[in-house]
Order: sequence, then structure tokens, then C-alpha cells
Amino acid sequence: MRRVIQKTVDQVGSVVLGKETQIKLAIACLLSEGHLLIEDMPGMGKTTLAHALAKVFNLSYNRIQFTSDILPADIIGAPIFDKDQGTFVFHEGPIFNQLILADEINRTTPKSQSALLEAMEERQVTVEGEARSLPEPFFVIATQNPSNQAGTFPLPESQLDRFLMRIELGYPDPIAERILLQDQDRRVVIGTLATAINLLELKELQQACKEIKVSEALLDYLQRIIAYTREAAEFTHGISPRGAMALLASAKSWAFMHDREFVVPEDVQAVLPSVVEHRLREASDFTDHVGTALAQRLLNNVDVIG
Amino acid sequence: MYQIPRNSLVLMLVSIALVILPHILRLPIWVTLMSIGCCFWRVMVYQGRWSFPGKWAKTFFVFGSFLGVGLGYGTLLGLEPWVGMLIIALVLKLLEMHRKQDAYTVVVLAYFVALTEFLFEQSIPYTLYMYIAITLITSALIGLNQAEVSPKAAIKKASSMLAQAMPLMILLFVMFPRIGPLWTVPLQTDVARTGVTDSMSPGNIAELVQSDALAFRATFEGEVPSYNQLYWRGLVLSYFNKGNQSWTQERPGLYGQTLQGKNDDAPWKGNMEYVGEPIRYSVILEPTNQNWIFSLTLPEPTDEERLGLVRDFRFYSFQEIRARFQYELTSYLDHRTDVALTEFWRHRYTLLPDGDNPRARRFGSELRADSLSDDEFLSRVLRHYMTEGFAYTLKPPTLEGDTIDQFLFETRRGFCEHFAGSFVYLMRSGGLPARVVVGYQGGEFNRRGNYVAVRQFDAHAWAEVWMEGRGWIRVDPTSVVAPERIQEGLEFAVEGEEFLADVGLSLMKFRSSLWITELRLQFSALNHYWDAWVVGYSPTMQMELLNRYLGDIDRKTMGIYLIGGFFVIFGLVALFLLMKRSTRKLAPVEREYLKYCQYLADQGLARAVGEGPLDYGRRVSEARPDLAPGIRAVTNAYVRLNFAEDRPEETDLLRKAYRNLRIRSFA
Repeated sequence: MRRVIQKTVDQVGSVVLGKETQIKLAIACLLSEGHLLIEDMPGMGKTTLAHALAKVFNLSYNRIQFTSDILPADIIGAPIFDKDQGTFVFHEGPIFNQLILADEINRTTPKSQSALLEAMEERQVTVEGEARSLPEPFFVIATQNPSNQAGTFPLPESQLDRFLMRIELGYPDPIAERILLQDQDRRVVIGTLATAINLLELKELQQACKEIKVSEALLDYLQRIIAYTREAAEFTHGISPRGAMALLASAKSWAFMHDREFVVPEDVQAVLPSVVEHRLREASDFTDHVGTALAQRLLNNVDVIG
Repeated sequence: MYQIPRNSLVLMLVSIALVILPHILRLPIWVTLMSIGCCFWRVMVYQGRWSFPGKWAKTFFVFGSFLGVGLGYGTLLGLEPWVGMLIIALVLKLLEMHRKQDAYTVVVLAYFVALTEFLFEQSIPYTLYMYIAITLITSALIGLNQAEVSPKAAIKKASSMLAQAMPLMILLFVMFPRIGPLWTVPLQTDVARTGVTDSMSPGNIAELVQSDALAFRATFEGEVPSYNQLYWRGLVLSYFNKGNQSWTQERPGLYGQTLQGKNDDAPWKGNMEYVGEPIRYSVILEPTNQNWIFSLTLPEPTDEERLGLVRDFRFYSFQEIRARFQYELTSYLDHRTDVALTEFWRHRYTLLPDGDNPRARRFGSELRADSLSDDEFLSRVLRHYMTEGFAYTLKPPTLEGDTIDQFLFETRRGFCEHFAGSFVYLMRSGGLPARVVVGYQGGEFNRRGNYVAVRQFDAHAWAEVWMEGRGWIRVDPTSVVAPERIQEGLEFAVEGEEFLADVGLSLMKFRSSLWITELRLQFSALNHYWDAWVVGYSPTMQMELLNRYLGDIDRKTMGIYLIGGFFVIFGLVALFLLMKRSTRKLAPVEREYLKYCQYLADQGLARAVGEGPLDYGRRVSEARPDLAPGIRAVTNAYVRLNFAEDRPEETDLLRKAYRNLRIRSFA
């Protein structure tokens, strides 16, 4: 793995224990300039991961706790009358930060959800007819509780599609958990983390990811995957072109992180579950379960060679 | 509101025109006009200029046109009125195409109308035509579902779909158990079919021979008998009608028992003596709307259910022949019949009406009195025809009053019926039992199809005379006057007169042109096979065919074969699709890499379908540490060529690495 990437993974890994794959995926997501959705039960370390990433990449960080009564203005900000100046002054909301942790996004109403998601897509917000750019880079890590829990508004497919990746953290293994229990509080550890990459470096890395070579043979493989989701009967719908681009961008970042100048099928396969699972749905499934099994089927059934 | 795709509408209208076109001559003219009107209306609706007809207008159209059909045909029952109504329903549905389902209905109706065409015509050109029509209907259906396809692409797709359906169609045609019709629909048309009739007066046959329509085709099992032996007996006329001076059949009641089936017995069965070699042949008779069956003398009784052998040794069909009918017979050209004739029949066959044709009657009886024997009498009568300036002509003068007298002593120009009729009259005048036989003589041998085609212009009339001790013998007075007619055919006998003058353009006129003849023979041979094997494919034929190739077979086994055939065909299609998918052209590098995968697979280390080259290389290296360096080299070469440098055409690097791997593993 590329040395600088290894350093960030190690740094974050010292806080979020035993989750190297997820950390790498999150970093790949960041390098691809996409947004990340973490889906898991409360207390699994979602917030810790986000916070640690912000620290390591030296990003301004804010957390928005979504509740059922939060309003778009609470996220974006609102003009407030300034008595001294006699004018309305725009007070930036928590979204004006480089790394946003949108916690429990599916607990809020669709109205507020879409305020955030529009900001994610446009990378700017419009208030009172005035467009305001969000800071660069702009990275949203949203977390959501499993959607079958009470009091949730599941994100519609159109909005799920805006997340480049979706990952689950899962329970830590016993060794990691033991350390977690013995060691000091994670929040204290986060405070001790050193910055591994500065803003300029991050931009360079992101640019380098874009320049990773993609061969015709690899595009063939990628298209075979896409075609499979569109043709096979077990999928309600295929992967959209946006999904295909997401898959390619993630695979490029993955290849870059692993010190390659070109993408190999294994790169696609490594990121495939995180990139496509939330975009697929099984034809026989009417609940909101994501297509974990479907992604596995793609890995198994689509031939790497023509 | 639903708007039918433009392409589909165009295809639909064209295919509707195609399916209606062959029916036009059978339809009242207003139905055709109405069809054109409805199509036009639909186009105007599409363009938004007109609107769909209202509820009352539609009601009026429906009841009005049904009434019109009823009045036009005089009945609402029968095939033709029904087809008419179906066509009206089809074109009216066009004006009711509000939703997609309506468009489907139109398509299905169009298929139905196409189907009805085969109730009237089953010839090859029509079949090809309907195939095209069905292709177009199918493409309209495709256009309906895939609005973005161009008509050309839709037609192409429909063609390939129909081509794919062809093997199944053939299988079903051959194997699907054939059962007789559950019900029959009367055909409205009692159009007069050309053919011989049951009464003969001078001029009948001369008119008939102006037609080159096919009467029947006969396939012989062995040698085809010589031309002058081919006397196809159809009717025996033994009653002379004074009023219109015509020969007609005996009253049916007089015949007594009819022989049905080989083992049937009748008192007169012993009157038939078969001598010599049997001739087996099969005849495909064109529809005549009559009951006559044509056979060579003397036929054996047959088991064919529809046929009975009557007292004057000819077959008779119990139902009128309204569709092409195939039958098989065995005849003996050498035979004797009615060696002893009862007084009753002797009287019937010498019966003449009172007081007509006095000159002929006197001539006959005087000549008999002058002759020493019946034989001499017969030959003197024939000599009379030969020497007294009789002429064979297609355009005999019209006869009035005592026609036999007029012909024998005044005009002396006539056609076969003049000769046969007057000859029998003279025989009876001399007290010799005699009768007129009507049928066909000759026929054209088609070497390609190995059959004899008999056409209307081969129609002929001749005589049979009963001689003491010999029974009935055939005498053909025409052969005395015009031997060419009997030896070679009509057009050689009437040289100088225009053959088939009333038929517009007939290929038969060009019998002297070799290549046209060749072409014509080829085509009619094809037609013959078509009629014999496709149109005439009957339940019996099906069982025979299946028995021949599949052994003794019953309905159940047939069903199993049918289902088996289905699976085989679908299996082949599926296989074809599978092959087609996997035969995507691989880049040379990938082909080379697959060889390496195969090599390892042979050693029990197959690559999983979704396994990338690096993962696979790692897995295989762990399993075979001895090969690890070679595997690494191959994997690196492959990845480099295929993913890093994008040079899938250059295989050298990979090939070398693979060769090294093999050498090393061998060592």
C-alpha cells in the first residue's frame, strides 16, 4: 500500500480498532470525492470513525444529529437580523464544514434529508436566492440505523444513489474489543491523533486517483457487471450510469491506494459490494434490505475474462 | 390517451391491406370500399384531423354492415358471409383503437383473416403470399411493443422470428395428431366448376376443351400405360333424351346395388372378369362439385369409404367433391364385363325414343340387315365415318331439330361427342346394345413428378358396344376420324384451328416452346408434390408416414415423440443462444491466458468464474509453491498487457512466461 495511505489507515486504525477494510473503503471514498453512508446499529463506532478521519486528514469537522424535528435551516443556516447593523446576516449552519457527520440521517423527515442530500450533490447551498459554496473538500459521512427500526424514514433509492459507498462496521473482533475495554476513552485518543495529510496533499491524491489508467479489458469487465444487473431476473433494476461511474471511480482510488498505476479486476471486486449494494434490490424482496447477496452473485457469476 | 406508434400503424395498415386483398373477389364491393374508408379514417385520426366515430355511428356501422353482408350473400350462414363479417370487424376495430389492448385485438383479427384465406386457397403462391402477410402482421405486433424500432428493423425481426418458428411449425404439421373437422361450414359458392356434366348434347365438350384447367393428376405405381390406353371413365350415358337431343345417365334406381369396399358383394359382381396385369394408381381430383370419379377400366372395388362401384363399372362418390380429393385404385386394362347380358339390360341399352332422327334410324337398321354379323355391322359403321367425309373440328356447326340426322347426313363436322353420340345411336338402331362414356382421354406425363396431368381439354366422349360372347368393348369413333386425338392429344388433332382460343394467356399454348414447357412441367410437378404431401396430408397419410419412419405407432407414442421433438428444438435454440453469447471474440492475450487457466485446471486448480488474475495467482501459488515463480511471471505479464498497458494484441510476453511455466513444471 502506498506509504502515505498506510499512514492514514494506521492512524485511524489506532482509534477504530480491527476495521482496516472499512477504514480503507472510507478513505477510498474520500479520495474519490464521494460521500459515505455507514449503516449500523448505534454504538458501533460510526462517529469515532468520522471524527478520526477528520482529524487525520485535517478537515474541519461538524456533526449534525438528525432528529425528527430538525429543519433544513438547522442544517444549512439562516439569515438572522443583526440589531447593530440593521440588516439580515446569514449565519452559516453546521453544513459549512469540510467533513460532516450526518448522524442517524434516517431519523429525520424527507424534507431535511433532501436539504442535506442536495447540498451533497451540488456542493453548494442556495439561501435567499444567493448560492453559497461549501468548503473544499466537502465530505459527508452519513450514518443510518437499520431501516427496520422504529421511527425511521428510509432513504429513497434516488437518494441512496448519491452516496458513493455504503459500508457496515460490524462488531469488533474479541481482541480489538478487549483493547477497547482496557484502554482509555476513544475520544481522548482522537485528541492525540496527528495530522497525516494536509489539504494540499489530499487534493493531489484525489487528482492522482483520477489519473489511474483503465484498460479496455477492465471496462469490458465493468460493463459485463453492469449488464448482468440489468439483464438477470433477480434484480428489480440495474445499476444506473451514475452507479457505473461510481464503481469505476472507487476502483481507481482503490488501485491508487494499493500502489498501482492501473486498475485490475480485483480492485473492482474489492469496492464492488460497498458501491453497488445500496443501489440494488432483489426482485423478490419488497422490504428495504440491501442487495448484499446480489453483490456476491455479481462477484461470483460475472466472468473476469471476456 | 393512447396513441399507437406510427411505425406500428403503418405496418398494421399494410398488413391489413395484404390480408384483405386475396378476398376481394369473393367480397361484395362495398366491403372493400369500406375497408379502404376505415383505413383512411384511421390515418386521419392519427394525424389528428378527424376524430374517432361516436357511439351511435359505431352502432350504425356494425348493424348496417352485418345487414349488408346478409343481403349481399342472401344469408348470414356460410363461410363467405362469415369471412366478410370478420373482415368488417377487423376494419371497424381500427376505428376503435383507443388503447393498446385494442391494437392487440386488431393484430389478432388480422391473423385470423389471414388464416381464413386458406379455407379457399392452398396453393404454393398463396401460401408464400400469406407468409409475407403474416410476417408483416408480426412486425406490426413488434412495432406495437417497441415503438422505437423502424419498420424495416421490425420486419427483419419478424422474419427472423418466423424463421425460428419454422422447425416447430414443420414438426407440428407432421406430428400433431390429425383429427377430422369437428364441424363443417357450407361453402357459399356453388360456382360452376369446369368439368364434364351428366348430360351430353352436341357442343358440350367442345366448349369444355377451351379450358386448360386441371381436372386431376394420376400417379402410377409402375409403368404409365400408353397414351391411347388412358381412357378415364367418368360417366356412362345410356339414355337418349328426345326433347333436347342429349344423352343422359340412367335413372339411379335402375342400377341396383352399389359395391362398397372390397369384400362387399352384389349379384353383378361376377360380371367383372379381370385378366392380365393390374395397374395401381393414385388420383388427386380437383374439386368438381359433382360426384363423378375417374378411373381406368376395369377398376377393382376399393375400401375408400367415400366411393362406391356402380353397375356400369365406374366409381361414384357419395359426397360431392368440393375439395381436392385423393383416392387410390387398381385397374385391369384387360378385362371382360357382362359377358352375358340379361334381357332387361339388353332392352335398356338398345332403347331409342320414338320417331326422331328417322334417317339415322333407317340407315342403322338397313346396314345391320345388310351385314352378316354384329362385327361386320360395327366395322361398316366405322368405315362410314372414315370414308364419307367426316371432319373433326373444335368449331362444329350448330345443330337443330334431329341433331343426329343433321350431323350424320348434312354437316358431317363435329367433335367427339358428335361422333360418340351418333355412333351409339346407329348401333342401337341396328339392335346392338351400346352406350356413351364420358370422361377424359390421355393426359400429359410429367417426368419430374412422375404423374399424368389431365386437363379439361382432355375431356372426351366415346362409346361402348356389347358384343355377344365378348361383353362390353370400347369403340372410339373419334379415333377413326382423327387418330391423332387419341394417339397424341387434342392440339395435334385440331391443327389449323386455334387451340384454347378462349383462354387468354395460357402456358399450355406454348407447348412447342421447349423451355417454357420445361418450366411449366417443373412448376406443376412442384404443385403436385405440394398437393399430394402438404395439402393432402390426411390423418391416414400421417399414420402411414409415421409408421414408416417410427415403426408401429399409436397416438400415445406420437404424443411422446411430439413432446420430445419440442424439447429437442427448444434445447437446440437454447444451446444456440448460449453459444452465441459465449463466442464473443476474445483478445489474443485473453485467449493465451485462458490456455494457462486451462493448464492449471487440468491439474485440479480451476479458476472460478469471478476470480481475478491476481487472486487466482495467489491462490494457485499457495497450492503449488513449486510453480509460484512461473505463475507470478504469467500473472504479471497478463496484467501488464491487459490492464496496465492496454495492449491485448501483443501476446509475446505472456506466451513466453507461460512456456517457461510449463517447462519448469515439467522439470
